[in-house]
Amino acid sequence: MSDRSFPGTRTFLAWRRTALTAATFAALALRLGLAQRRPWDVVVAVVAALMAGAAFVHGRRSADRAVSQQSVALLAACAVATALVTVVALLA
Amino acid sequence: VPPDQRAMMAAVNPFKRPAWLDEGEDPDYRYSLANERTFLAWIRTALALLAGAIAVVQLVPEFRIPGVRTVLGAVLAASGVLASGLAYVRWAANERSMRTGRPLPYSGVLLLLAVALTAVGVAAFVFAIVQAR
Repeated sequence: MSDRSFPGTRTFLAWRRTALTAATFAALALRLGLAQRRPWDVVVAVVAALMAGAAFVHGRRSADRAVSQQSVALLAACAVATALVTVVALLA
Repeated sequence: VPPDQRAMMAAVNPFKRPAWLDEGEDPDYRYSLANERTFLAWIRTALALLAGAIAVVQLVPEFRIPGVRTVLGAVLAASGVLASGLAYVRWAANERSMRTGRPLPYSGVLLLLAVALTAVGVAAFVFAIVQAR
């Protein structure tokens, strides 16, 4: 079986979709933050952009094999951080 | 750093290789990849819930009843926090079950999220109708 198997490719694309979703979320938060002069929204955008970067970088490994537990933990930590900062931004 | 303090730091470090990764046998790589895709789907769901929370609070006009917007946004944001936090927990539990040959664990969080989102949907529908009259 080829190293670049179909399940690996599907998973690679799922990582890319996640990175794209995080980047879109960052753009939305940045747009609203700048338009309404809400600094916490800009912080949300920065954390979400970091999450998009992490998903983009770590997803490259999925084309060949399952990514490491550290990659999954890193993305989960970024997602929790994004969620908590979003809650703070909504309360601010 | 003293050894006992170093051991404590390693125990709480989420990026440290967990002991259960050495239990049982490596599952079929296709199942591991499917589990990974499910984890990513939960992360995307969490991001969508958070985007919905921001949109409801900042873009939707205030309803006649004050505070409704904030409550709807709070439920969505709480759902987003829950989904993002439990994504890793579910991934790890499924991976561990596959390694040891046990059935995949049931999670009541699915029901909780479904109930919360149904409540938000019904509330948004009702308040939109009331607002339009």
